[in-house]
Amino acid sequence: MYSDNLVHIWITLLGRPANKIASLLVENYGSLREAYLVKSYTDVTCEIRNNRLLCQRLMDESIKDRAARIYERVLEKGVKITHVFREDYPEDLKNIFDPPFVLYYYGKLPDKNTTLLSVVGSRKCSAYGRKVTYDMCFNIAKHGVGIVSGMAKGIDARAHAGCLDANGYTIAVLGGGPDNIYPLENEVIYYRIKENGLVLSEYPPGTMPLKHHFPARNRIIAGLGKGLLVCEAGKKSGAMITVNFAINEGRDIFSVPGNIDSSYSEGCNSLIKAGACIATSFIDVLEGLNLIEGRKIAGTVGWLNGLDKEEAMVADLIYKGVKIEDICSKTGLDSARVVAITTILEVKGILGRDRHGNLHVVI
Amino acid sequence: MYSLKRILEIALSGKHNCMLFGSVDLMPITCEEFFVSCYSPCKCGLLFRRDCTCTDLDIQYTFANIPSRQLNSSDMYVPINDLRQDVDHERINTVHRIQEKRYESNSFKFNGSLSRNGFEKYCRMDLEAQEFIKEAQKIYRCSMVDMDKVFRVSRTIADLDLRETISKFDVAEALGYVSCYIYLKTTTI
Repeated sequence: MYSDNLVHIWITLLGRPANKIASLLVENYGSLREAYLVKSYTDVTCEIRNNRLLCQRLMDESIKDRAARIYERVLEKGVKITHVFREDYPEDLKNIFDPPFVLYYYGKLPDKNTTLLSVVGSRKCSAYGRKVTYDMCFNIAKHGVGIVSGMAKGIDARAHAGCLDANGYTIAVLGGGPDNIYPLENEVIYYRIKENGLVLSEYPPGTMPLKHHFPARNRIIAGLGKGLLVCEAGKKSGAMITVNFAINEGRDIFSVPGNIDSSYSEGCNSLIKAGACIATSFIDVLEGLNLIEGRKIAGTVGWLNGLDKEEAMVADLIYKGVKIEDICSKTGLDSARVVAITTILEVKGILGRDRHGNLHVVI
Repeated sequence: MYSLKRILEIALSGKHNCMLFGSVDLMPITCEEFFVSCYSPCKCGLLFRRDCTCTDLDIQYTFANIPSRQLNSSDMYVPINDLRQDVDHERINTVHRIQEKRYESNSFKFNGSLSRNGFEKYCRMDLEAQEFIKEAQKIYRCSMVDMDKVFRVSRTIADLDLRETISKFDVAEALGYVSCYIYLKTTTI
């Protein structure tokens, strides 16, 4: 039973970084399968003999047994596998420092054409953070961008929920095995993602979500996306680890500003101070990712797609700051029509209400 | 944006309970079947307009003081700043006659007292409207009771235009009259 997948699982057990070991073995034996068949010390090449630990592990039968057990479990749970040398492996992830050698997943891997955006934030968050995350992810997903996040409590869960509600594509990167739902309160989201998106992990099925797995999986979250949106993060939040990874990989950082006296938004505000893009609406993010052309004509929003003539006219007036009482007289439409159009615009996500219930353009 | 003339037209022809917010002192209209009440929404009276300076706590306080029976049983919640205008009584009478004919076999006479089991029979919508209402329910995250209000008011709006099926614009307008309340309920109250 020398399946291709089994050999790749075995490589991950030999040590880290798995990529280096794999290329070393290919250099010496021609292929990974040949390396797998090494049994005695005489078969080990000179170059690998210098690396004592690797040499020992290469001949160790117990590691091969472990790999076989993992592979059995993979087949049993119906988990799919991909590895770095395959074509369906996400392109952006391949180019980071230390990409995961093998990915275990449920669902379908992203197409080459889909743009992905990573969304991170702290588990402990305010109502403001939850609302902003949901709304942003909902609108971003509607424009065809996939959302990558960690399926943790708080911001992560809201990001997935927003994307799923907009029928978007979303990726959850887990800190344990792909079959291990953690935290259990996100069970519903987990099954929804499994159906419509991708549940991804670098750990084999059955692995417990241990403490040190989470900083490591943050590098996958940062690596998968074209940019990184920080929705609400405290000063010492785990989200800041992801930010560091993303900066090292050269990704764009978008940060949602918060109240200056809120301890929940300290991290976000310090990022803005350090030069991150300010994301006050989903349009900022889409513009940063070069997905839409900039605001074509200053002071108008009528160019947004999916609006007819009357809707564009009303949206423009509200964007210019015209009071809602004056809209009827300026457009020449009757009151009933204007009320209907503003509601339609609100449902389309172009208008929103502020703290005092006033309508304003969310751009 | 909101005109008092239009709101009174809808309220009178469908006998909908109605709540107006504004700094203008209007005497509440009450009959046996329905009421139109007027409240100041916050301390400064300018809520839902650009220059309101009240804090969240102020708004909570004023809304807590409105009798909950009145607040929950209204169908329309509209911020108003213009004065009362004369309504077209002939138009309202025709709508009354339409409703009488429609609800012949029922115990009630007007759209205002239409209940949930009557919606399927009397509030027929075209496809566009059905899709829109599904989308809107997601965006506003409103309860079923709030949706009942939308159904009732949109029925009356369609009647005012003498149409039998409800269109997307009717639903949108009805939602516009309830949206203030939904917004306040989900954020401050």
